Amino acid sequence: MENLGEFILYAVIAIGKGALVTIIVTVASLILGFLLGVPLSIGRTYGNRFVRFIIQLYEGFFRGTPHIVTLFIFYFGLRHIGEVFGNPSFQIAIPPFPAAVLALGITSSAYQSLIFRSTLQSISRDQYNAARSLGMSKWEAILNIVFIQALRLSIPGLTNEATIVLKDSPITYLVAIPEMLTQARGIIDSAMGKVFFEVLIPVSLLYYLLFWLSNKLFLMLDDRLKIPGFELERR
Amino acid sequence: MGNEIVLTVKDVIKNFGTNRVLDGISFDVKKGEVVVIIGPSGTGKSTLLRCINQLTPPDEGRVWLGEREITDKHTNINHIRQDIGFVFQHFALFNHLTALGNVEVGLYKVKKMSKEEARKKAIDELERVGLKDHMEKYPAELSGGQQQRVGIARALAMDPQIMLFDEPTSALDPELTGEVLTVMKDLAEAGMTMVVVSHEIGFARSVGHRIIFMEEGHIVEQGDPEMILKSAKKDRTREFLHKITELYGG
Repeated sequence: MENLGEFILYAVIAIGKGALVTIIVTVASLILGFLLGVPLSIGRTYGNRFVRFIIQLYEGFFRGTPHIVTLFIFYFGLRHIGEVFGNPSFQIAIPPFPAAVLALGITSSAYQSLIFRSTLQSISRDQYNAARSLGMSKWEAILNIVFIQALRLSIPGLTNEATIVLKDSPITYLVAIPEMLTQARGIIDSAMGKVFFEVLIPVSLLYYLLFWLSNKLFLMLDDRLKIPGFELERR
Repeated sequence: MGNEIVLTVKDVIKNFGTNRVLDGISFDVKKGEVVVIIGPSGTGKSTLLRCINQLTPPDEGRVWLGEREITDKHTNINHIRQDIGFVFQHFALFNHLTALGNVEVGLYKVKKMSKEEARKKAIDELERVGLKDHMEKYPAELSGGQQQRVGIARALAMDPQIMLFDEPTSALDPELTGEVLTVMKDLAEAGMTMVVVSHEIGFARSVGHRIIFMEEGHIVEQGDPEMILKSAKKDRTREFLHKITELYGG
């Protein structure tokens, strides 16, 4: 009985740590995705033909490639990049955590770019013209007036994107990031595979709890930043 | 009204695809003058206003604000636009800002005033259009007439040399038209130079110094409001005026 108590305590602590890592990986990836997604969406909407084409390729590639493949490219692929150029001693070795955040963050940036682009396009051209008529430059008008409104309208889309990144985060298990799934796997292995359900059910409930929390936070943000009469159609 | 020329438009041509919207428009506006442009829809009146402040750059022709050529490539357009107030048909208030925010944003973002200075001036401008009590409201919380008055205050706050009005009341209920026209009338009486695209014949008669009748990208006829309204030379002008007087009243 004492053994069982110790085992449960060990399992709870391990999964708790894993949950924390899951949160960190998710938040870091979302932030990276945001920092890249904002300029991408603006370039895709307002850039010249060349810029738009490049961004379109980027978006297409990272939306069209399975996340696991992207992760493997960043983690394993770059280590072997020298071999491609006939110089095996050259390698780009990214540690697991940055590689995981890069893979999830860059993938998310492609989706976030799409979210911002659709809201940017929903802002009436009159808003831009009014800003220009006051003497703002093209970029001042885009950033001060158009993008800030688009950002406000993007919160529902970002709510969804946050939960998607959260649920993609377990793939970092494959590069040994100690997130929840990795920890769960460790517990199951240490019990010699006897406690699959006992571990995976609480873990899946924990994912659900994080999902719920993330939604709640974004809804609060949406409410807090509410501008009377200015929102996407709600049904 | 003095003799100083504030705005000069010379041989302006604008095509949209194969459609020639403006076919060589020339006119000038004196300081303090109120020019009302009328004409059937689709004759390029709004395009003409947009060609003046280069929201729609003309294909050919030149435009001057005072001595400065707006159409010159070397002119800093962002600089010169601060001196040209523009009022939009559909108000185009910034949806994410309050009435006050709409009026002050140009002052601190463009004119680089301090926030306090900008706020003070913006409040003064809102008071001038009778909306000081509504300054914390967002555009969606204001009536159309109030929104348009904020639009006017926003343009006025930049201390422009001329104000361009693109059908400022045509998106409003008849009931709300009056409050906007009153603000415009006060502005004209204070000596503001104005070019107004409008169907408000009453306004043109009582406030305007000159009416320009445009059709199919040309100026058909222009002159003193009384003359145009009572004894236009061209049949087409009389016909059009007869129609809109029936619609909107004299």
